[in-house]
Amino acid sequence: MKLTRRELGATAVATVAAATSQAQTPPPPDQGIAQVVRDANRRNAEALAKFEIPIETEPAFQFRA
Amino acid sequence: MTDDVYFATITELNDRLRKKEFTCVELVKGFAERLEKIGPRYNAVALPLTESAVRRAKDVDAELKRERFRGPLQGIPFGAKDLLSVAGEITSWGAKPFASQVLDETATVLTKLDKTGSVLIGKLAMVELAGGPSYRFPNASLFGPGLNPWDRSRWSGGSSSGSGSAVAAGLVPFALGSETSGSILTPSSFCGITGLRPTYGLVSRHGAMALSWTMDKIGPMCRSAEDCGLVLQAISGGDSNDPGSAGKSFYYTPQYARKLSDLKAGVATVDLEWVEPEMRPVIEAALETIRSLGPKTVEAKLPDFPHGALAGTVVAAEGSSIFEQLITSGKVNELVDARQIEGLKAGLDIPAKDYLKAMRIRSLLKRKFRELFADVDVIIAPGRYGIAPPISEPLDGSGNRGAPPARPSSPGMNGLIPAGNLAGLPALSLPCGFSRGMPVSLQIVGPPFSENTLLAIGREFQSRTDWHKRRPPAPGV
Repeated sequence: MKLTRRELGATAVATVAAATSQAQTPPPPDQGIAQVVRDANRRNAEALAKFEIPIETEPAFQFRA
Repeated sequence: MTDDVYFATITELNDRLRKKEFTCVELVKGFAERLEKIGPRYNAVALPLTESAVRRAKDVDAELKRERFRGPLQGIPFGAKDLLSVAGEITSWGAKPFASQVLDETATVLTKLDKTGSVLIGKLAMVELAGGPSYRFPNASLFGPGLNPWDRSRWSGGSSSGSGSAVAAGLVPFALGSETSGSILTPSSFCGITGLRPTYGLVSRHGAMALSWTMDKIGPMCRSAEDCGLVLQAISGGDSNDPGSAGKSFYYTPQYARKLSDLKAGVATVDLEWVEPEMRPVIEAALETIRSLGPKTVEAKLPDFPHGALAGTVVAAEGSSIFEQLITSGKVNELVDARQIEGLKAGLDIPAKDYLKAMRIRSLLKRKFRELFADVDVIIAPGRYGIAPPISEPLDGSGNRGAPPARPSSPGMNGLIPAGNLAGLPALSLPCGFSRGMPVSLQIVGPPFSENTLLAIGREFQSRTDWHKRRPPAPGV
């Protein structure tokens, strides 16, 4: 899967590490912060949606009885 | 007590204790006074624990007098990020809504360190709630912005801010930090210290604030790779109280490390285009030093995944679930950072399908890393692609003036921090020089449970360089 610069920027903003020096798309200054956050989550969801996952792939956690 | 004591390694301090150059009480009092006096200059201190530390130090002195030697950590003072609980003491998680929180249990890692005879002298400041799911300004903390000992107008990094600045400024010989996605590596890099993010599950998180059940790790932040090995050995091990525990222990065995000339290190040349221009010669020289140690470097490519989107989705979904009560009660609004407040609220609305998709893609990412580590033993990349930013600057780049610089066509290892965290991989941050007077680092990442290999490279690197021994300007108190 190829990432565009825009996608790369959007994903970097979302990381908890506050990726200060990585590729980023600054949020538009005229939008409310809540909208900025919702937009970032939407872009994250869109980036994940483009990813094709083999049907047999299980999530990366285990339940241990 | 002289400055050489405050910047000595664990092994050096322990050796001097055993030679009776000073007592444990003297050592603990020296560091504790320094932490209380100088720590506030960097907003590094959450809670001094001097009284209990001096009591503990008296016990250690009695043991040393009886020649009951426990090992290299015996008598060594240290600090712990304020997300680790100490029974009966305030554990604030760096956040106003928890500013007076007192928990009943002591974190497993602190109990383990206590058994080695090391002495907790204080809790260290942190970004509120370890920064999850994201934050916009360095001042996102109950304690104010973490200030960098190399330049107090710059950030110490987060979320283990106080751990980074306290070690760098010689206020503690070592500290514990935690990492969900960059919170050990970033302050280690910005402050010029050596930090180790262990493999997911190697160190118990019982008694630590949870931000992301599937990504949180606790690790050492020290003066050298050797010190990181000694601390990791003490805090690692299975714990039935931690559902994520791998049930494994770590033994620091540099004597059995693979010959460095047998190792193959993956690098991405394009990383040199990503780093700030002033940093390029520093990173180039550091990579040349790595090659001179023996490892062969080959071109490698980070598995092609939307790392930031994955980490963002996982941390937001898990973090908001963990803090659901804080969010729904409205107390979340007491946090400092508006972006963090809104991020926590919005995280509750992440659909299950998105979270599960992220977790399924993580499985694929893990597989791709396994394939990559069949070709190379470690990955080496810049620790950060720029130096510590000014504390006044937003962390999302929106404060940058002028046109953005041209971006290289390939991402290189950009994204290695979220990618490595998503895959649960260990990483070592090594100071490797300075740019504009600020520390610069390399990160070395390996397959799960390869800490001894990472530390062997770090130890050799630090035997040939002295970047890890450099001291920040003396603080004017």
